[in-house]
Order: sequence, then C-alpha cells, then structure tokens
Amino acid sequence: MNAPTETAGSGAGTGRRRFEMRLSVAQRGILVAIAIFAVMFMAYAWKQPGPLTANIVNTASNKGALLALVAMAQTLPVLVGGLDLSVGAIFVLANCLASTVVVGNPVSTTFGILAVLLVGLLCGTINGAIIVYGRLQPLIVTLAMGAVYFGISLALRPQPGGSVNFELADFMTNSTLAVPHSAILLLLVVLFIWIPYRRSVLGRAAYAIGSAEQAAYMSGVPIERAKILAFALSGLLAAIGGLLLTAITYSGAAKLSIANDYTLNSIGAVVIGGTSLFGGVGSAIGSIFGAFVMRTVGDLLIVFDINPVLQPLFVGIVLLVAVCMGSLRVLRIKNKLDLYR
Amino acid sequence: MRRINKTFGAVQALIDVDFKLQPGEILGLVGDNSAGKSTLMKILTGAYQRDSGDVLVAGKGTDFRSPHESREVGIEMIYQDFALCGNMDVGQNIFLGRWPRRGLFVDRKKMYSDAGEVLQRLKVDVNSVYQKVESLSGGRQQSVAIARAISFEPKVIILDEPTANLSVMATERLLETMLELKKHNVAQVIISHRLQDIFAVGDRVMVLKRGRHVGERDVSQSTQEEVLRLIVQGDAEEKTQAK
Ligand SMILES: Nc1ncnc2c1ncn2[C@@H]1O[C@H](COP(=O)(O)OP(=O)(O)OP(=O)(O)O)[C@@H](O)[C@H]1O
Ligand SMILES: [Mg+2]
Repeated sequence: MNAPTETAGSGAGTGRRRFEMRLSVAQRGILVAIAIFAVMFMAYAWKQPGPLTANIVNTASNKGALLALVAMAQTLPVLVGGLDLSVGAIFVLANCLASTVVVGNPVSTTFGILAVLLVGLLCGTINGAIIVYGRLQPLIVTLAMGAVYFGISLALRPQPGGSVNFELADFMTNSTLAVPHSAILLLLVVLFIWIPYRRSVLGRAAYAIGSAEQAAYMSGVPIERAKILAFALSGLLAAIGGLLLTAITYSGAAKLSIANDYTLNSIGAVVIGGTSLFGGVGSAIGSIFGAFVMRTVGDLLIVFDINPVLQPLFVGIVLLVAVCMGSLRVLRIKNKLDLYR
Repeated sequence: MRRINKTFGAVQALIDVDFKLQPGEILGLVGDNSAGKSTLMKILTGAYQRDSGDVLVAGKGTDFRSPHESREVGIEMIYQDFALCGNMDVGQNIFLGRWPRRGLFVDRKKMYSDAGEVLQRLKVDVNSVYQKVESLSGGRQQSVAIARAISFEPKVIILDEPTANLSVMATERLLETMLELKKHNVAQVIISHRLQDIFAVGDRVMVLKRGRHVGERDVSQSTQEEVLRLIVQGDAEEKTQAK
C-alpha cells in the first residue's frame, strides 16, 4: 500500500527544522540560563571597581561551584519526578566528615576523600531505597532523612572546627592560568558523572520515569533501580560539594541554616536551569548555570551598592523572573491544551 | 486462564472467567464498557494480580508479578491507556525499557536507525523518529505503540481497542499486519467494540458481560447480530455451558 512519503529517521525536513526539533526544551533551558548568567556577569565585570582579576573570577567560581554541585545533586531526583530536601544536609554532613577525615598524609587524605564520597553515596542510596521499597513520597522521605543526616553532622561536629589537608584544599580552590580549579572540578563532574549517567540505560530510564511512570513501568523500564541510582548519585554529588566547602573554609560546621539555604537555592537553580519540576525534562548542565545565576545576584548587589540584607529579596525576584520566562512558552504555544499536560 | 476472579474494592470486575488462546489464533474479546476485558488481559500480563484462579502458559502455571515478566515469555500488550512517554521522542519510545546498548550505554545511533526501520516495515509514517510522541496525533501515537509491541517479536499480542483512534486506512493496515503475524503463528487477542474488525480477521469471539464469561462463537459460524445479542443480553444457557 501507500509507502510513507518521508522515511522515518533519515533526513527528515530541512536542516533548520531538524535543528529546531533536536533543540529540546532542556537545551533551550540551558541556553536561557547561560544567557542570563552572561548578562549578569558582564554587568558585574563592568561595574566592579578595578580590572577583573583572576582572583576575583576564582572567588566567584568557588562560590558558584558549591551551589552548582548541590544543584546538580538536586537535578537527578527532580528528573525522576521528586524533590530532594536532604541535599543540603548531605552537603553539610560531607563537610563535617571531611573536616575530620580528609587530613594527614596523602594516603590518609585519599582514604578520607573516598570515605566522604562513599558516605554521600550511601545517604542517597538510603533515600532512594526507602522511597522505592517503602513506596513513599520523595518529599517526605528526604525531609525526614535530611533531619537525620543533619543530626549526624551535629553529632560529628557539635562545634564548628576541624581541619583539612591544606595542600589539597589550596589546590582545589586555586586557579591555573586564570582557570579556576573549581570550574575544572565541575567540568570533570559533568564529563565523568553526568554525561555517562545521561547516556546510560538507567539514566534514560530516569527520564522515562519522570515523563510517564506508569508507561515506563508497563514497558519494563527498570523503575526501582533507576530511582535508587538517581538518589544515590544525588548523594554523591552533594558530598563532592561538601568536600569543596571544606576546602574553601578549611573547617567543618553543622549549621542548619547552611543546609536549608543550599537545599532551597538548589531548587531555584534547577528551575532557572530549565529542568521541569514535573520531571522528565531537564539537565544538570542547566542547573550549573542556574546556580551561577543565583550566586551572581549576591555579587551584583555588592557592586551596585545595595544593602546585602536585601539579597534574599533579589534572589527571589530572579527566581520568579526565571520561572516566568519558562512560562513564556504560553505565548508561543499554539494549542492551549498543551499547557495542562 | 482458569476461573479467574478479581475485585476492586466493592466492584467484582471478573467472576470465574475462563479464557483460552491457541498459537496462531486471533481471538476477539468483546463486551460492554467495564465488562472486565482490559482487567482480564492485564491479569494475564501481570499488570494486575488476580484474587484467585490459575494462569497457564503453554501448560505451565505462571505467576507474573509485572508486565516485565510476561514479556520475557513472549506476551505483549498494547494498553488502552497509552503506554508511551509523552515527552520523549518516537525512537526512544519504540525501544522504551530495552534501548539498544553498547556496554552500559544506550546506543543512540542504532536506536534511531532501528526505530526508523521498524516504523517503515509497519508502514507507520511519522515525520521523524526525533519527534516527541506528545506532538503526534492520537492515532499516530497508537500506531507507534503498536509498532513498539510488534518489534518485541512476541508470541502473544494483546491489543486493547487498537482501532479506536485509527483511520480507515490505518485500521486496514493494522488488520493486514495482524494476518501477517498470524502466519508467523503469533496468537493475538483483539479487544474492540467494532465487530466488523473482529469478523474481518478473527477466528473466535469471546463475550464478557459484567465480569462473567457469557459466550463464545466461531467467527465462521456466527454473525455480528448474534454476537451483538450476546453482548447486550448475555445468555443464561451459555453461562452454564461456558464453565
Ligand atoms: N485500577 C482499577 N481500580 C479500581 N477499579 C478498576 C480498576 N480497573 C478496572 N476497574 C473496574 O473494573 C471493572 C472492569 O473494568 P475494565 O477496564 O476491565 O473494563 P473494559 O471491559 O475494559 O471496559 P472498556 O470497554 O470501557 O475498556 C470496571 O467496573 C472498572 O471500574
Ligand atoms: Mg478496556
């Protein structure tokens, strides 16, 4: 009978159309986040007194990378359709643990790092296992487990303090030829954790779950393993963030405000980065730039001489603007029904 | 399947239903809305768990706890409530849950080219395998779901109202595909409210009414009117005979 006019897959449409189709919602989200960040950073560079030194860039990168790592940690649970309220607590727990074990000679430092990463992975795995096998809401489970992890941090470090291997700390927070090492750390995390994850079967499964969990289940997508892995990797990423925090502060502190701040800001960064809170759409790369945007707001306030006390107010405004830009698609959409999907 | 029972809360969805399917047979499963057709088939695939009764596949008792397990013995179902992920593209949906891999990773190139081939073979013309499924029309989505099921090369295919959204031409293509599969000895169950489709390709019709098996007819020895009467009235005599 009538053969298809266009062979599926092979050279559909013109190059341009193909490009538009391939440029997914997530990719557009990343571009928007990069654009906002670029504008804000240029405003900052222009307005701040004196030339933009490598030092300034390095400090900004260090601060940005902290939130970026936690935001990446938040991205994975969000992609499978749940929020993770424990990322901040795991971040703080890793910080407290690192300030105790990442010390001494290179060998003990190495084991210390491994221990911190393993603990992060373990925290995330516990979250995932409870959610999957207990059939519970991620929000509630991570709220409870976040409190547990914070409690452990407090037990580890009742008073701020501790120490860290200084050579390692300085190496992590310095820059080479004006390239901040913290930015390289982010790049490595993207290259060796995020991209392999995205391409893996379980990573793809995570997107399928976020898109339509029932359909994914009926199709034999390994739902349970994919969810547990998403939360486990989230814990690992938060722990990497905690390590960097230790390197920056040379110490550990179990402060609830830090945990809460990072958790909430990570959600903001994820949204600015174009990841849908409904799951199934988005990318950790967007979240990195989302985090940079959130952080640059603070710096902008300083150079524009606005009372830093107002920072939360402005962060809130930026968040709202970003969310609204996401919903600008209302204007472009041809079929309003699409909005309710 | 023997003496299957299933209740949802107060609703008795299936009452002592017997069900048989031979290799290479096309069985039409009919009945009023909420007669229990989808439920019966979901029990067969393991999407639902039965309250009592036995499910035998090739003579062996089975106990599928998920559709994943029934797929492994070659039973594939196309669910009435679409089983596709809307915001993923056609290629990924065709291979949902069994993406071609290279090591631990999904082999994207192979996935898209294979998906293109599958669609072409089944004459489903979507513009591109990169298109999001939710941007396809309802009928096209259904065609993709069917293509997906067939590409598993199952021994048993269950189609739950496959033609509900299809155009006359697409329906015809589907019926042709069904006959083609029959030649390869694939057993098929088609749930449909369109008796003409069932009479066009089916060997046997089975009628459910309010969760009971109320009758069975050979397509060659029955008429659409007779089956319709069964659907509407049920049949007291058939009821006892069917057990
Ligand atoms: N998941 C469920 N939870 C509760 N009740 C259910 C569920 N699935 C089906 N039922 C009930 O079981 C009965 C049979 O439903 P089923 O979907 O099998 O009907 P059907 O024959 O497929 O109807 P249709 O022609 O409308 O598709 C109905 O009364 C329905 O309300
Ligand atoms: Mg049904």
